Amino acid sequence: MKRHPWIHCLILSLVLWLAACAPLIGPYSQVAYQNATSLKAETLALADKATEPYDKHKDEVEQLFVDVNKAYEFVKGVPSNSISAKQWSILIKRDGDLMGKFFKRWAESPNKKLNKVFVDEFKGELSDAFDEIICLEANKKEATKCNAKEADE
Amino acid sequence: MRKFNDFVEGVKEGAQGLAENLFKEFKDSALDDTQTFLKKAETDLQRWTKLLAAKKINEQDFSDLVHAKKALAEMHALTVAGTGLAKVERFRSALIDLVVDTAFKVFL
Repeated sequence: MKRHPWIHCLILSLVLWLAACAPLIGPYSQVAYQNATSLKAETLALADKATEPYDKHKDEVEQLFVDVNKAYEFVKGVPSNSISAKQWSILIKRDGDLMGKFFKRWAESPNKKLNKVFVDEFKGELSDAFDEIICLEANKKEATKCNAKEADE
Repeated sequence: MRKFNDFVEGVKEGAQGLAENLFKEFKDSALDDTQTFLKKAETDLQRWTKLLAAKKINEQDFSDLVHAKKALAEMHALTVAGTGLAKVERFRSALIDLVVDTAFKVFL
């Protein structure tokens, strides 16, 4: 069978062109996924203690911020991963409205304790924020429906 | 030349199916996710308003919760955008496979 060399060049060029483009989003990372799930559990467990005096848990809070910043730096270092990095940044920034706000209020409240009702409600927001990060990471691997639990309720 | 036309037609047909799936999947899941998020946000805001009225939380608590929800909405929008990009990335990989497979089928 006679083969035209230009056809091979064309196919090769097309495949190379498609393959050579930079990825639109960073690849799935098992480490990033595990960091998000374990830090979610740690954050919620520590938030539960916000009805106790802050000074008793000050070191744990500082350690938690070290750990979440490590997770953020890991995600930020993955190429084409700016969307996941932005999510972490919103969640953990000290002057932000999620983790930063909650732990700052605990530290600065007059009796160094927070109201249990407020703690429980805010924990829901922190939990959902981690779930957004976890959902995006899972979807990098395969299409995954993340809000099945809420949708069923 | 006929073989080349077969190749182009094969890629076109396959790519059309891939693209239709991609956009249908993206549209359905983005709409579904956003509706679920908004429904939950509405329920939460109603509950917080009741808690404020019952003095179980104060104005500062209420304001902080609303601000947290706003930050969460921003994170959710990023999830929707990132999930869409992940789908496009998978589409690109499938398209590369399609071009290679069709070429093997037609020319070899």
